[in-house]
Amino acid sequence: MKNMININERSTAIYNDMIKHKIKILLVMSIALVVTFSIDILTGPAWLSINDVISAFFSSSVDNNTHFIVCSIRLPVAVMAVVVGASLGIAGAEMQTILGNPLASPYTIGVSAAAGFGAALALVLGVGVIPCAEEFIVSINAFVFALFSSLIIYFISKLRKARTEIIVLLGIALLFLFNALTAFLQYIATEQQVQTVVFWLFGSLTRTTWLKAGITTIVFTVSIYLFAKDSWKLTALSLGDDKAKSLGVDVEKIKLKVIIIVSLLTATAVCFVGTIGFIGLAGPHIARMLVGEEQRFFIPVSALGGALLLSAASIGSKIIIPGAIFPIGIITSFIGVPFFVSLILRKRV
Amino acid sequence: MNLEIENLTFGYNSTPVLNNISLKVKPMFNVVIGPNAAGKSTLLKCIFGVLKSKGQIYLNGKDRNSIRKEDIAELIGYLPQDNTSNSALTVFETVLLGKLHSLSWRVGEEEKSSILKVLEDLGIDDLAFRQLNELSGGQKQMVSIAQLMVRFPKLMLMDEPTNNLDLQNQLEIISLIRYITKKREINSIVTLHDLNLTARYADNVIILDGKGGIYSYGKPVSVITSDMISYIYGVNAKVAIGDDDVPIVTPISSNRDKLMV
Repeated sequence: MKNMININERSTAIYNDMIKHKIKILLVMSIALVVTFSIDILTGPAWLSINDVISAFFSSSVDNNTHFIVCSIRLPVAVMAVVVGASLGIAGAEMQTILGNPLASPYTIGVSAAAGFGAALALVLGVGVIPCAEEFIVSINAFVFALFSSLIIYFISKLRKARTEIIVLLGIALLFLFNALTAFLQYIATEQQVQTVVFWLFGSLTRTTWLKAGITTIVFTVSIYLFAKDSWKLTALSLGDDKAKSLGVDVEKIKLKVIIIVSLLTATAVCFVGTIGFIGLAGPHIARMLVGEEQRFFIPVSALGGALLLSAASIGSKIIIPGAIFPIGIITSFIGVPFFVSLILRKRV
Repeated sequence: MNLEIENLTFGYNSTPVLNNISLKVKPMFNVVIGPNAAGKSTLLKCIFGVLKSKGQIYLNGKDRNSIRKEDIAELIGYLPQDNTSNSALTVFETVLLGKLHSLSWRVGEEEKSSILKVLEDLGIDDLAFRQLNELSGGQKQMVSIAQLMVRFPKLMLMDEPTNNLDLQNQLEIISLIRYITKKREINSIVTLHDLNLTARYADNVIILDGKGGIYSYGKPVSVITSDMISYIYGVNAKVAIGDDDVPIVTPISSNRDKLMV
């Protein structure tokens, strides 16, 4: 009996240590994010000092130019990098959870491309798939097409009971289809429209306004709250559909809910900053390596991983060519491709 | 928990797998046997509700359809056949999911100790903090059984729980399921392929005939016979009755062997 109590105490202590370790990871990543966020505000065509930034917030003695650069340009961009990164991080994490495939992400299975096509449709032809005010056509189109492509993947996988490899291949097929459709729109577009679409597709944070950052933050906050509420059910899904059903999870209902939220997250992020690849793939992988798949930690660490990557990419986009801002979508792919290759090689070993 | 099945019918597409089955299953250690594709797994899935079947299922006299989904998950523990998940969850986290419906954001001390107790009962407490993707098939099977046991269901449905287990673990697991069934005074329905394991441990055996019906239901000594084995499995076998009234099956040959000669 005494021996049993010792084992229990020891195991409980190990469990508590494991939780403390995960909380530590969360804290370290949060601190790292504060650092990248701060550097992101300091960097740009005009380098600012920490004093300039602090003064812009709290002092009236700072010149109007600095105040404008910090509060109206740098800060919303830095916030947007964090929120979009976090949104794509959790979108990828939950896409991987419901499809049971670590290679799934809004980008690799064509959801981003579909959102891109929806946006291009609005930018080139001015066509809105749902009647709405002109200023929202791009966003609504991006959302509808993101949802549409997610639902295609979901229903075909459900109907055919497709293996995960088939679902990923289906996603890649959709990626090509929507890229071809976008290319077709560019083909028939005017020079100016092509320029708008191409710039949009590159992915850029420079178009950020406080309104866009605010909308993205609201969507992210609501989404992460909804995911967190279902964190145990989502954890059960990582054991497979049959196992989750045996634990009493309404698998179909939760998958549909996740697909709608992921589409909303992806569409909101993509419609404001363009298509940004690999964040949705890399964020969850970093999280899985650090804290495993228990969603109470997997969700926030995926968010932090995505936010850190995009925040770092935002800094990179400003310092790679001094005085100019490089499209962030290109930078994330530069970071993402070596990461992806190392992941494949690790799996082979 | 008493289980009563009335006119249960289920088929995939138009092919009936279970055809108008009626059965009263007493709270004991019940084992379902039958040839491949006889509907053993299907029967468990219909009882749990993963498959929507025709007919009635009563749990302690109450219509299963009138019980809330959340309550069903509390009352019935179901172990599916496929336990090959390669998730990055630890064994502890996986077993914790057995208590899914009572889990809150913070895991309480009581939950932690009940999980550790089950892991200890199954002799896998040393695996508690290893990830599932590092375990062998047999170890994963033990983890799934632990996940089911931690829920304290009134009816346990286990689809081939001895899959992937070595001989010692098979005996230990079946013996443990039987012990828990008696100690907790619950009803267990387990599908097995091994007739000798069934004969030694089952209180009652449900034999599916492979044509959608039930061949017989009763104590091993009355239902495990050479005639039954010949009719159900197409196998010639000797069945001896041991000192403790336990049938011992020795397969001789397949009836189809004659066709191959």
